[in-house]
Amino acid sequence: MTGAPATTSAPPALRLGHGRGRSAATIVAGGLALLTLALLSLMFGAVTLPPRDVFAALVERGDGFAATVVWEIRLPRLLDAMLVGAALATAGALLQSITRNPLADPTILGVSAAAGLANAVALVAAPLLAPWALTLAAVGGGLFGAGLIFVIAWQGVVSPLRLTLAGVALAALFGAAIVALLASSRTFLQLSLGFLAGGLYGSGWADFHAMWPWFVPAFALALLAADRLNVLALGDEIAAGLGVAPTSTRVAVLAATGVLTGIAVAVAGLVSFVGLVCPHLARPLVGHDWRRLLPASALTGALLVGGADLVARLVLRPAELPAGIVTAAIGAPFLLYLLRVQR
Amino acid sequence: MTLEARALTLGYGEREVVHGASLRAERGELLALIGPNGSGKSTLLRGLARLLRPRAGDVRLDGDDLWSLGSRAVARQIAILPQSPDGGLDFTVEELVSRGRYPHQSLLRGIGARDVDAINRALRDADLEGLRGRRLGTLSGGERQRAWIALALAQEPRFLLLDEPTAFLDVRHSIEVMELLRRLNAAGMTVIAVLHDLMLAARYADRVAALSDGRLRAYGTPEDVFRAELLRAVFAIEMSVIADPVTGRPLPLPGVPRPAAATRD
Repeated sequence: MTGAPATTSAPPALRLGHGRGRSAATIVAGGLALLTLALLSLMFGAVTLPPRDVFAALVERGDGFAATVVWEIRLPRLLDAMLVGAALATAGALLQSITRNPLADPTILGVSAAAGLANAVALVAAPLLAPWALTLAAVGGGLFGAGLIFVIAWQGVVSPLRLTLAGVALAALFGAAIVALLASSRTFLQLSLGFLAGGLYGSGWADFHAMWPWFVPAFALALLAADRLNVLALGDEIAAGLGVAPTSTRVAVLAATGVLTGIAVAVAGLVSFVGLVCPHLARPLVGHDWRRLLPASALTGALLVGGADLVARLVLRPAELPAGIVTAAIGAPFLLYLLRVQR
Repeated sequence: MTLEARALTLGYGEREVVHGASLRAERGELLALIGPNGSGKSTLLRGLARLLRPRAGDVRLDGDDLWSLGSRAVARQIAILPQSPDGGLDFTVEELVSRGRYPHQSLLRGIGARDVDAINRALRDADLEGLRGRRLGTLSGGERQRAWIALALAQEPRFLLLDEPTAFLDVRHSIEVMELLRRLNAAGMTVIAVLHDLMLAARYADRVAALSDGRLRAYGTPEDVFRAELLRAVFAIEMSVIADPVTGRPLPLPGVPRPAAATRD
């Protein structure tokens, strides 16, 4: 820089990330989008309910047709879709953060496949397992996958590149094992196809109650780690100098990633690209501060999977498409776009 | 207010890099670490900043063992800027510098007036006020280096440890950085810097530590350390020392490499 900049006497207020006004506008817009999506999801399906009937069913909660459709089918499925989306998007944001790799995602790094393998083993071994038990198996698988990435990539210090390559290898291995398992078992059904593509067919309240007790602590842990992630983004040496231990932060964040991925896979199967896409969609709106970017990614994920499920239910009405096909149709081109933009 | 290494031995894995170095930095002084590549300067700096646990010996901050203090507590006293950091290219200068407040912040308290003051002062000291909204990736090497220094300044440390702070800077910006360090010294901050430029070290340092092969070969004032035979032993190169015509301090000048030096390294 040549020549001293003209400075005024009063130091300007900091403009870190985005101003408060913009943050508030983003929150309001996100909330409105969520409500709109909720209304549409409750209205449309195999049969269409007018908004009046939806509101009446929500408020009165009777045992009529509309109330049954709304309370027993559409509302739990909507909540499941949103929670799956929020979990996957948060997991993706966390992975992108600790690997310092904008293309990281639970699918790409093999965490989803590990959770899916555990889930598939449980399904094949005991087809009538309760949702909470399936979730437990998938969470175990997700934690195992996340831990394996860490162990394989470990070499004194975990470098982002090694972590990513280890994940790619695991994704291929576990993915092949899932297909082999499902293909060779006698329970290979339409259900297996739905699991591989990812979708929310037939999910209900039991799935929701199996997910949220995991989601809440894992998401809270992620939020608590957000200011450390902000510092870790500057590099391990800088972070250590500022008092953030890079390795223990990564371990904690990977554990949260394993749990969030596990619950999503248990309920919706291998829904791909949500974790990849959502942080990139949220970043232009809220900036890079992980304290804002994590919740914004979660909200984006809820909208994306909720919206994908709505589309999946409508295009072949009364039949359904797996929602994972819709997210893949959005996510795969987006990945190619990112590859073009990232140098 | 002293930072003292006592018989400090450091290494990575199997390899021992620094063997029993003892030195101290007093309040408000500038200590320069000099020596050839691979002599252990950066490792010593990391050991002084609590980034590397000692194999033997210890580091004392005002008499307390550095490792008896928490990493965040140390980060409020000691800031370290490693050589050419590569992260944060998407951050604006202001976002980057604000990260320096991490060790002072608590979970419940966000960024406060004191933090804003520290950030603004760091930006002013590093002459970055005109660039506060620019992304790091769009800055020149010199500007970027000053942004990283500002990050360390926002930490409001009592000890500032820098690994080759003038590495990418032209003459003018190098001198500006050294003048900035002297101003920080005058305000009571202790600075320990790895310096490759012996002229800058001789002109600006209060004390100089010379390392080669992981051993401290000399430690003292520039007059003590910048002697031809000593520099010859440390750098394995012919050196002569004249009086700086501007300051009267010693001014080391490289001569012809000895034949033995050509096969080294």
